[in-house]
Amino acid sequence: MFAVIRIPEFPLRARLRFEPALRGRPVGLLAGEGRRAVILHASPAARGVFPGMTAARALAECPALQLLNPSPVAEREAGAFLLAAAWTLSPAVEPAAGGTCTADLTGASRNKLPEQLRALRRRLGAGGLPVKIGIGSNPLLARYAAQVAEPEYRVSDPRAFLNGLPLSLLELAGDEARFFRDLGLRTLGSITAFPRAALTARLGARGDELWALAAGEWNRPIQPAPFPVRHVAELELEEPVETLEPLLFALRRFCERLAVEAGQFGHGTTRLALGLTLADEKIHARDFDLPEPTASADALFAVLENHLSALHTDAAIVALRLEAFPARRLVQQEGLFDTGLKDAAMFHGTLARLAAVVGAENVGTPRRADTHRPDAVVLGPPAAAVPARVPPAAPAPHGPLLRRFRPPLAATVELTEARPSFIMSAAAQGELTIVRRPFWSNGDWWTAAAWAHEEWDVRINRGLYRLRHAPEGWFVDGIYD
Amino acid sequence: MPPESDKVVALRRLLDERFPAARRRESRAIPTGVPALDRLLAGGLHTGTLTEFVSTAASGGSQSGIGSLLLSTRLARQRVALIDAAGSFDGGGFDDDALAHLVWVRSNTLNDCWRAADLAARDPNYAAVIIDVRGRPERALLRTRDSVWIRLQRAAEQAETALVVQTTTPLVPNAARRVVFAAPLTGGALTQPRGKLLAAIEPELQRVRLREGIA
Repeated sequence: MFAVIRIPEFPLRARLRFEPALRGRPVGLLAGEGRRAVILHASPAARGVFPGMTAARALAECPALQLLNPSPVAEREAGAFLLAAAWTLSPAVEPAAGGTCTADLTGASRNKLPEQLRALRRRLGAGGLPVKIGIGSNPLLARYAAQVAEPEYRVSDPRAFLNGLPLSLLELAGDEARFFRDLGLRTLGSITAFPRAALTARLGARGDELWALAAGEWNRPIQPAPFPVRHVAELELEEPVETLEPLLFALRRFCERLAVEAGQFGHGTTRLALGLTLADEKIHARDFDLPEPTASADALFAVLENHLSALHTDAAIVALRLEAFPARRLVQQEGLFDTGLKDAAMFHGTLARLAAVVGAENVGTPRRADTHRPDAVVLGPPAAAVPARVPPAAPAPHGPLLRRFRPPLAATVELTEARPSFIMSAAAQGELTIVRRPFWSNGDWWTAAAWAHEEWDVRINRGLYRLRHAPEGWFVDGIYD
Repeated sequence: MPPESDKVVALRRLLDERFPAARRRESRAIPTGVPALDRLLAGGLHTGTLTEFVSTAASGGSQSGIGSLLLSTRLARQRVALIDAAGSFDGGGFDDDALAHLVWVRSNTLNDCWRAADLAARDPNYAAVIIDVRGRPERALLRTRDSVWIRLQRAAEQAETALVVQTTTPLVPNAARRVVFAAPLTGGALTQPRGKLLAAIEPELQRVRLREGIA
């Protein structure tokens, strides 16, 4: 299961996050320069203004319209906030351009997911970034779902879902769009109804690719982004700031993102470093030590607000920088009801995700099964607390540990005087030297699963192996290492 | 013009002066219980770093070293995750209580192995995460994307977990320490007490690549 989180009109939203004065006013974001500049996005208050209009025509339609240029810095900041919020859903998140990211939800709790998604929308919405979320069985379906989500859409029947989707989702080149229009194909379903081979014959490899996209086929694993080493937010202000309000507004945005980002891994922010660049090229720098690690944006912001409300600078502020330093939250002394875990919720969450990745039968704490049969180990749930070690009753172990081949490797063994002397197997082949005489063992003879075999410890070339002779043949069980 | 290494040193010093807070957190050592190994690793596996065990010898003793690490962490009541790409771990070599702290993860594919390692490495409940990829084809291992190692490194730093990667060929570009088990065990090792055997294991330190804040 995958989730695609998309911020519609991302460049405009990212820009307006740091412009409180423009909230609710008609605003248009420009693409291009000079007379060729056209409207890329327009705010809802800009009535009569649509994407693609020239700036002059947009102003004619809406004289109060304020025109802005995209801000790469604001977009980077908004993208980082989106990524940090997505990490609360899953550690495997692939960011994409234009305010979109894909989260791998494998192993996520189905019961908790709806609430997690609501919390994510609330968090990003409060930060000025309303999002749409699509959920599907692969990243492509989730991406399509995010395009039609209001504000969430989960794809339950991919075929029915894809049939009705418009062709515009495929991001076709001009001549490709014309080609499909001439053929009368308007939806993804109409493309998949067209024979794949015929489309490939017409458009070559691109035709095959488009057919696969229309069918919702996805073969590439997502490439998760690395976690940031440092948690820094920076902004260069277009207009120097002389009053407190816009400064606090920007810092509030920083705190919202840094609290989430530095709060990963069960951490909290324990120190903040604020840097204000003044118009006279001086820098006002101040570090704040917090009484305890916190992941609350309000707590971080309160510290900054207290400091800045009493601050007077000689010049206006032209740039700001805030860095958060995470630390493990306070560890308390273990009590009677303590679990012995640093972060119990994360431990069980990780186990659930591991089980989803490799299968529940492949995760757990190993214990010997109630039999003398070799390699009879069962996996059980890990204990909530690791108890003190109980000294074993058996004598101290001898020899190196065995690394098993699972399943055991079948071998062809040549005998000389009823003893193995030459072996051919996938693990090793050649003459062998017997290091230890055979150990005979059998068990479960009172059941249908009776077993009996002899084990030889042998040296083949420079490795020490365990060889087993059972009624089914010879096997290499493992290598001593 | 100063030589290249001087430039790097000067650059590091400059960065340290400008960004003193960017230094890594203090790293703790988790003893492995193998005397020669602990000596080479300056006390044991270091939290927040990747350590690579390369077994070039078929029976070089690295598995016994991991067994010793499991007992050492068990005594300290620290949790350990073992991500086993080939499902080769033999729990039969231990009593049940010795593995009460272990979470064993058997992966079916190499891709699943990396995903599982990524999840375990970011969980601060684990003091150490062992990733054993022996038994997987070398060609597939060598195709591992660098981003996998970078993510593991970051996760280990953030969660303060010690990561060990067991391989048969040098694989981890950002390993802080690479130890090679090249000397094969003798036949007599099979009858030796485990403690004596561990004392006889003599791995070689092939690489040390330390960062600020790591001993």
